[in-house]
Amino acid sequence: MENLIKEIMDELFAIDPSLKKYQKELEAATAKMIANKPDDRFDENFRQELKMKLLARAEELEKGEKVKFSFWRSLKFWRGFSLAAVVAALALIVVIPAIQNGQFSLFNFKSGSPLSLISGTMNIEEAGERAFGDLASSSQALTNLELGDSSDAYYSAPTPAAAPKTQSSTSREEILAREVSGLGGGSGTNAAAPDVKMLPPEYATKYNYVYIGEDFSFTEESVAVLKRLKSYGSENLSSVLNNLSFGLFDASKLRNVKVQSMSIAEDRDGGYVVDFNPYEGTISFYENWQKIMPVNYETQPRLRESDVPTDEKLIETANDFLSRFGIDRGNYGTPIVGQSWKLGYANVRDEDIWIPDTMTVQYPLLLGGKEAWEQGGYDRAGFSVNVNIRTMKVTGLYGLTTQNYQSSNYAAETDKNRLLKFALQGDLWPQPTYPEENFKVKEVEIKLGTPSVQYMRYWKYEGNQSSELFLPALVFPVIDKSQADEYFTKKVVVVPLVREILDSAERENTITPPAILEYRKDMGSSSSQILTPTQEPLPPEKVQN
Amino acid sequence: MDPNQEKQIIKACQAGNFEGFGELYEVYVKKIYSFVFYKTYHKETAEDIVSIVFMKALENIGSYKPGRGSFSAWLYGIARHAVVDHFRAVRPSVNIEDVWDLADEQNLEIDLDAREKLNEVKKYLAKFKPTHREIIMMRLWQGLSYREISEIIGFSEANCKMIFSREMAKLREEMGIVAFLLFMFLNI
Repeated sequence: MENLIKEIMDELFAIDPSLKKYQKELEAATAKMIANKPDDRFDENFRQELKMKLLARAEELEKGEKVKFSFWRSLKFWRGFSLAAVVAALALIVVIPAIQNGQFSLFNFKSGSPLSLISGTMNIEEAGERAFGDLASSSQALTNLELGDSSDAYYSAPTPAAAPKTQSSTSREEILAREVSGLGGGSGTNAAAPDVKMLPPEYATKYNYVYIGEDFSFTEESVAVLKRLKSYGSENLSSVLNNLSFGLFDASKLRNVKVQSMSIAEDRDGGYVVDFNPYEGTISFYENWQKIMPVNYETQPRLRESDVPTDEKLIETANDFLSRFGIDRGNYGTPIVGQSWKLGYANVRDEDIWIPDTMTVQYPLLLGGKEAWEQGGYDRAGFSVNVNIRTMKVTGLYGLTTQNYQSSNYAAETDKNRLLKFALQGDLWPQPTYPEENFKVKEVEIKLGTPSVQYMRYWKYEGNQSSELFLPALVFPVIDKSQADEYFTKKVVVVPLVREILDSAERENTITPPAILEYRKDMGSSSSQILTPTQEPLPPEKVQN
Repeated sequence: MDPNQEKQIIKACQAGNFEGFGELYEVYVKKIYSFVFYKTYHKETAEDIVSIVFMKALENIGSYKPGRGSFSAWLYGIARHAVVDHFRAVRPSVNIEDVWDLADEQNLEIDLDAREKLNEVKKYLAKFKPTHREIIMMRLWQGLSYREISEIIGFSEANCKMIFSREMAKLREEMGIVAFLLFMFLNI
């Protein structure tokens, strides 16, 4: 350091001799600056590895090969991740050598061509008419209900394991029995057995939808339904496994091996785990729980509403995270901060409001510039990023999917009155009818505006396979819900334009009133004992007595 | 490396013979890494950017025109743009002219050691113009000569020297007696 300081002093005095009178102080300032020079930790291994890669690339250039950039783009994404077998050790053993060699064609070993794991590219290929078969099936209704309507989360891609337990045996009545169990305006789910009976509610809500928009029409004879192609293109890995020994078993006996899922983890404080599911074409991030500091919530100050960052700040944090990992937002619309945590706090004092640690930023999917809504009209399809508002750190990313689609034409419904009829139901199926002898019914008017053509996400199950379809749909905005309580969270009413979907819904529109529990005086006073299921529901007045 | 030898290697690379590119790399990799690190203060990020810089240099060496400046300046130019691209990607909504401030953003990764040391000097350097600050750091931390600094910054060598001397004089006033005492008694 002394030599450098002397060199600097000589330079300074040569430039400005008048500085010599401050020599000691200048030496001190220079020394402090040099002493506080951050260590750049130049890594010799990095130098050598990069040199080898450059020379390999130079060799390619000499042979006249075209520029490949995928590796360099991928480099940032993979930086800092150490591999840890979480789900598929088999897959990782195959993948590790590929990563170490800088070959990121994880699921395409034969060709060796690089693969962008989080592709921002949307590809839509044409298929023949009705290429996805019969779209209407009774199982579809169940799946939409089972998925529920979480107003904040884009838990969009169920795994095959989440497929319904039945494809056609589940009756419409069973489905409705589940649907009405909440009676709060949402389609809350119930994972219990189908013959669920309910506590008599204070009142049932009947929503009267009123159309106040402009005149509209839809004249196209057919509409293009999109089906998301899930696979990354996982190649057969049998040839690779032939040369591997697992010790515990003979891997070469496996046939037609493909990577179905894998996880990688950052081995550092605050690191992330990334789950890949090539089978479903999904990627999710979450914090590496082994590397996060445990939080003692008893010592954490309670969050106040004033602690909630602005939407702009939350979106900025989420955007930074996406940029850091090179996740393209090109196929997604303007991000929205989820507000579902406010549900139930409309008339609550500020000090009684519980503020969650995590807020959700939602990125709505755009298909050709159009949004894709979930069937219930509560949410848009897309992916979400969770931000911890205490640390302003992203804690997870969910619902990011590959964007490869097939397109196939299906006959469209052009009858305006029929389309409007579905809109005024509020859904594909009419609301349950509540017998007045059993229920106090509260009627609420919901006003709908002029529709636009967008998409409805639709799940179709065949065997153990699920298909994610996007149906062109009329989307009617809810423009006045002032009569409804805060639990009415439907933002739009979605009416698919595919005629066979509407036909199917009309065939299966039998409404079964929900069964309720009966009051038995001989069961004692405990609320858990006074009610027992019966076939004959009692009026609410009797229960209250 | 002898300037003539460098020219010959560059000429060969431009003719499609990349055999000597490794030697160019060895001459500049540490300097370019240092240049990038003292803008990002994060080892892994710096390595990513340096990888991009040399890959671009390799693939685009044909576009280098010796008459427009030294190879060193051309390489630093690629590095500067790569750093700007990096910050544009991670901080698309802010001014990227002054990467000093960007690198210190709360949500960006900065090596712990770098963060602590930066905090020590930031209160003094933050008052300087970005370019002036860069000249000081290039000279004191990266050990670059005024000629090299002038090529990177685009100022004349004399101007760089003048700026450095003026800013060091200001630094002396800012740090004052505390730095002096530390230097005298604690030898730091």
